[in-house]
Amino acid sequence: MKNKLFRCRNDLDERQLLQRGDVFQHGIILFFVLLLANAFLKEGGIVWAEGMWENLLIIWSVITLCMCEYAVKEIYPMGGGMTVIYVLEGACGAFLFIMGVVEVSMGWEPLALEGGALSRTGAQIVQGFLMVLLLLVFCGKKVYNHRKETQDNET
Amino acid sequence: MGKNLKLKAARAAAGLTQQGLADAVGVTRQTIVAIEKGDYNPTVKLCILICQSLGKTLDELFWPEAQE
Repeated sequence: MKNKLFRCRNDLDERQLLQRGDVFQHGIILFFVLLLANAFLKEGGIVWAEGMWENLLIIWSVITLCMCEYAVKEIYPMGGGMTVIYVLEGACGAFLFIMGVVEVSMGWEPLALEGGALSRTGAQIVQGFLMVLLLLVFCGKKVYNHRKETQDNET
Repeated sequence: MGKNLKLKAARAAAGLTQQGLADAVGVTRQTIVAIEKGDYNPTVKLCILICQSLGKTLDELFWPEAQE
């Protein structure tokens, strides 16, 4: 079981299954809150991001919350494959973030539109930041566990 | 819920690390940590598996200490 790169999706122990339910609950609550807030902003004529990026950032915020909780609570439905996912997300996020910052600093693209809404580039910077945050939380938990493991594993 | 020191002592007496006990009963090390710290109440099924792995009874490992 431990040597497989991608374990069966349901290969979680009883504690992890309970906590996974809590994570999903938090994600759904956040999703509803953000959708409701977005609806009220639209009703007031406020556009906070260009085009479809409003919806994408809402989705990414929920994904980030859930995956951060997964990392903190050490819920890894796909075993070692989760490490690959976190690293890939972090790498893509870093690329998006750096490219966005370069584009804005060089004046190629605006950070915000005339009405104050986040431009496409601004939204990509935010998305990149969220993706990098996932990798940072994952790595931070690994470092914390490594330091604790020698203390906990006394025989 | 307080710490389960009896479990920790039994695991140490059996010469098992937390990872070793976790592997023996089919859970993660973090679950064993949570049980020993008192942060998680295992199901009866898991309690039985732990007892079988350590050669102890349910009373010896999981019955609460009498409060004075």
